[in-house]
Amino acid sequence: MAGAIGAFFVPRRLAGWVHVSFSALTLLIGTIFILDSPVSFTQSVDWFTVGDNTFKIGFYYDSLTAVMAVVVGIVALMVSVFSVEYMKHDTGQNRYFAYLGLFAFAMYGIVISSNLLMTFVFWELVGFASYLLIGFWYKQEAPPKSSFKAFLMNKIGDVGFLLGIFLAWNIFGTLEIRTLLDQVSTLGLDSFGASSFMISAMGIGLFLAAVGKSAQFPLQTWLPDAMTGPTPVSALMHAATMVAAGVYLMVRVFPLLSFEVLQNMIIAGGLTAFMGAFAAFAQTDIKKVLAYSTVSQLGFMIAAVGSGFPLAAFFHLVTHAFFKAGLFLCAGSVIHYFHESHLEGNDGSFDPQDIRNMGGLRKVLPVTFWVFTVCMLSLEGIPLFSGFLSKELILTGLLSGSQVPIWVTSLVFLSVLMTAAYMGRVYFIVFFGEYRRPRFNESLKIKLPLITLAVLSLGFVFVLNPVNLTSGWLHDRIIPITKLNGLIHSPLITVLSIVLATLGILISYLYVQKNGLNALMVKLKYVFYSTSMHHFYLDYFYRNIFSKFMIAKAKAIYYFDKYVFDGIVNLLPRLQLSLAKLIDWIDKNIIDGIVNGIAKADVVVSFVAGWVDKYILDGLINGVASLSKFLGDKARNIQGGNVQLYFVWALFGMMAIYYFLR
Amino acid sequence: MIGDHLLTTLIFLPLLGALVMLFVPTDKTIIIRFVALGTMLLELLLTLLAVSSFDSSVIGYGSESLQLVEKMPWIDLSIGSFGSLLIQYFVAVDGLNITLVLLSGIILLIGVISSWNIQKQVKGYFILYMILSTSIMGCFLAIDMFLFFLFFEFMLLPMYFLIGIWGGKKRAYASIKFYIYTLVGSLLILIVMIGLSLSVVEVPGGNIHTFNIMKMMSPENYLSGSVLSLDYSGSFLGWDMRHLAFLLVFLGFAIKLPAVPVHTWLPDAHVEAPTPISVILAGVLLKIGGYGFYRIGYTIFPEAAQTMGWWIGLFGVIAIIYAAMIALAQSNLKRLIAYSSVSHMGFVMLGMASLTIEGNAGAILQLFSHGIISALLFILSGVLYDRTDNLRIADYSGLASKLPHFTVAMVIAFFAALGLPGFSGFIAEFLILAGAFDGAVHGSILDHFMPVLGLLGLVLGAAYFLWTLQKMFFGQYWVRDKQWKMSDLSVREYLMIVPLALMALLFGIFPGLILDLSNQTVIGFVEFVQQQGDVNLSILNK
Repeated sequence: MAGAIGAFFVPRRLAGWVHVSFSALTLLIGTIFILDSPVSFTQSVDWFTVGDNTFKIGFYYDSLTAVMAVVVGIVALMVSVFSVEYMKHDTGQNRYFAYLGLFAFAMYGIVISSNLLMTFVFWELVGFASYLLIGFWYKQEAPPKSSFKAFLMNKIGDVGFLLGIFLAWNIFGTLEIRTLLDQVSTLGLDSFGASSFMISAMGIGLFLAAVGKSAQFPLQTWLPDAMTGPTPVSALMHAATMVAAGVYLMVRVFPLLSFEVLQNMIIAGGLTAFMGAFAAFAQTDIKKVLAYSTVSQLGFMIAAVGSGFPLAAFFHLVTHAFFKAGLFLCAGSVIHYFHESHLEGNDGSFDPQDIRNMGGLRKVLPVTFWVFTVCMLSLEGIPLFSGFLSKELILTGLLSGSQVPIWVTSLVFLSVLMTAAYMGRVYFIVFFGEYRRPRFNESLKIKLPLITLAVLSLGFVFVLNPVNLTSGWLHDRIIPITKLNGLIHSPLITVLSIVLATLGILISYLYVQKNGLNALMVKLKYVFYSTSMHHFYLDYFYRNIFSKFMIAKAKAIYYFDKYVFDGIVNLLPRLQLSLAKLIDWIDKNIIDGIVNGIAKADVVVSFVAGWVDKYILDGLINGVASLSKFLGDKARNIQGGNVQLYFVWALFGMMAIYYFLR
Repeated sequence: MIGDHLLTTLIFLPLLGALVMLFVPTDKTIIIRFVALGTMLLELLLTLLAVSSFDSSVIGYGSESLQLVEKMPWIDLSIGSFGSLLIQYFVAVDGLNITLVLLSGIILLIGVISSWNIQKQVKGYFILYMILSTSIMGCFLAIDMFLFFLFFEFMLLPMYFLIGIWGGKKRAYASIKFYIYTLVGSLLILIVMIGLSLSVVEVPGGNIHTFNIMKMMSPENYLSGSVLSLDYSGSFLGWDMRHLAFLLVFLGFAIKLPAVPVHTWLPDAHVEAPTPISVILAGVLLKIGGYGFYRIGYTIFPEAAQTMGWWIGLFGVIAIIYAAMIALAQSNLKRLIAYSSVSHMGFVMLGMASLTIEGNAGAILQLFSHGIISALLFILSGVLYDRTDNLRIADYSGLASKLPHFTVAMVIAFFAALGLPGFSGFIAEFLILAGAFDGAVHGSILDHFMPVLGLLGLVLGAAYFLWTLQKMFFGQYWVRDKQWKMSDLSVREYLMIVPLALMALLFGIFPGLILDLSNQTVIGFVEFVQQQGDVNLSILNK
């Protein structure tokens, strides 16, 4: 049935309301379904067969699936409603909602998937939908670049996922999640005859998938860039659901992760949490602040999984999905307001996302202001709000985990402080101060999602007791499968996290209110500032060094191919041609020379012969002829006529004959 | 009647079409085009008929599992004490070639539609096209090696003219390069074929020498002491004759596939060939190389599959990475696609070398899927070329604003080519890599680094395709020459693009449609190669 939910989401080229009603329907069906079936079960159909192995498609249902599906459903519905208003002037609405539908389809696919191959299929489809939506405004320069980058970095993670899948296939002989988890929980990870290296490699592969999708160190740089997509998209995918898929996967396959993998996760998560929080300080684009904040919060979650408490991570995932989506939609509301109010007379130089252009919006957008306040307090981890519960759980987990390096824990605690500070900065700049405009009528389509998400960011939704989680409904639902063994809950942590959060807000308030924005910039030392602005120059490294290096390498190989391999190929005929020419030359000059020499000699001979012929032989002949002529002439004379002369000559002749014959 | 001679009809139908064309006056080009279209439509229907009458549940690999067999003596030459030489007209299908026959039927029809706007010497063009079609079909269907070789060689002639006359600016160079390369390959195969014909007899102990590939599979059919028999004592540079023969055959087909480093004819041939010929070249002709590995190389010399599998896998991986890197550096769209073909064919080698069922099923699927997807890619690049005569990537930007439908098609094609799940390429590459991992973990043929590097190839594939997409199609609209008429897809272009894209999707969502056709044969094939290879090796090593 949940499979059918996914199928409902085949993209439809219809306007937003169709999409909204489908989202609502999906959510409804999903909720009914979840209330109906409290036990965990699996159902699948055959997809294709190779040899004797059949690959399946199906769904695996447990409370994790249920909670995740509801979260995705709620946020998706809220974002759809919001989008109808936000995108109302865009000509590409059909395309937009079709992409959103594709995304929802793929996301539900990941959530309900019963095996790793199917998860991977939808995993990549989510990446594809993200590619389409980040690059939604394809006519501009930046979005296509960001979408390219996002897909490529995700692809690196996906390749890790494939590696993990192949190794899991080899080690366990199955990709069915349920079978995998059952086998591992009954037999233990080491009892499959695979070396610990293989098991760790598999875990690292799966973790790499989360690193890509959930924007962890060192692949996190795609997420801030992904903010070039429409803001509701950022809320849905790049804050609440898609990026959380990595964490979801880690929680799912947690039993398959070996100790070494978890160690890596703690370090990567801690680093990401700190770097993201740090980078969020100096951003001037409201969406970028939120994006870095998301990076940082995802770091919290991954660190929590690494410390051995996937439940803590998952809980934070849920609370974060609501309050961060709320924050993004608030940002969307602000941006929308600027767009709408600048439709008349915008000269194009105004950046509606730059917080330096904002201020005093408290009076202009009251609903947005209050929702932002609630969601922000939740993010900062103030009691009574949901973020407090989950963040406290993560911190407790980090302190209870036996193998958590102390420097990582400190980084995470520092990040809590910084979170409060950077959020406070944005809050005070955007909503307070001087910049009074007439109150803007926030559309119901904007108000409704905002308020819903704000309500969901309140602590009592999850648990009535503001500081103790164990009495809430979520606890009952999840803890049976993912036990919180060894979690030492201490009031100290509660106090500490409250103090840190309050301190952070106080810092930001003091800076922003007393000294103004510029003073803040000056106060933060230049290096500090630019490091924060450029996110530790990680992206700079990728863009200017790594990718240039890759392209140079590609070119080098290409020239190698062109001049060496193809060169050889072309050289062979050329050599052959040269050889042919050589032979030709030999032919011409030597063999032919001889022939010609002979011919020439022949000619000379003939010439000589000709001369001889002409002058000697001919001469002789001519001479004879002349002589004959002469003689003939003489003879003619002789024949001259008179008989007496004949007689004389005859006599002479006779005498001569006589003389010779004698 | 056709029922009994389905395959023969498949082979010679295009030739009949060519014959009809001969009697059409040269200036009646429209009739010629329609004759070609009709012939190929019928041909596709016949391939579908062949597929539907193919029983995919027949198990095993060898002469017993062949279907739709047509076999009759063709040339029976008695040569004194040597015995006699038997050449048979022997055509049949099994799981190895049935998918490729289907592919040929599809691509050849698409090729005719793509040829519709050929203006130069239409009659000659289509007659050559028909001859090419006959030899392609014959090549896939022949089970007699002599017959195979005949068709294999005969493909060169029409290809040479089709590139050389109807090609681009450097067509003469490209066609001669193609011709010489492939001729060298054929010669290597010819040498081995002569050796085989000297060694293999129809009945063990007899003296009727045969070219029947199925007879070449079993060592009993080799004359004792003959040059390619297992007990031949001679060697050449330390290689025994059978391995040497395998190497020659392999090199011959590697040129056709093509594999690095004998791939350099392909980019030139593609860039210079007219669009439909590129489509056929990438869609079908390259597959003959892969098919030849299976039908000739591995089938006749199974022991070499084990001893040389590591090298085949290595060269496969090299092709994947190396060609992908080169594609990243390309400035011409068609060259980029050509190199991506080389990269994708590397996967075929890797899957084949793994000697696992997954790997080989994946390789066969990859042959099919790449045929569809590369045909789509070349048709799309042809769409652009028709409008501008220019495929330099840097000369375009933001095409999506002017050509939205074309861009959608290109996005689909690129994502299909880079292996997005949902398209057939993904399943193929997934199975190949899974098989390669299996081969590396459980078998001894491949090393772990090979599939890992193959995975890296996937990232590179995403990089060069999406980078091109970003550079050419997104951003501000700009083209180098304002005179270019940029019109979106025509009906004829839709007729080619939509079916191909749908097929890539269909076989991606339901890969069983293709996999099931070949599954039993692949199981039998892998089993045969492993067992017979072991037997042969043990005899050779004695």
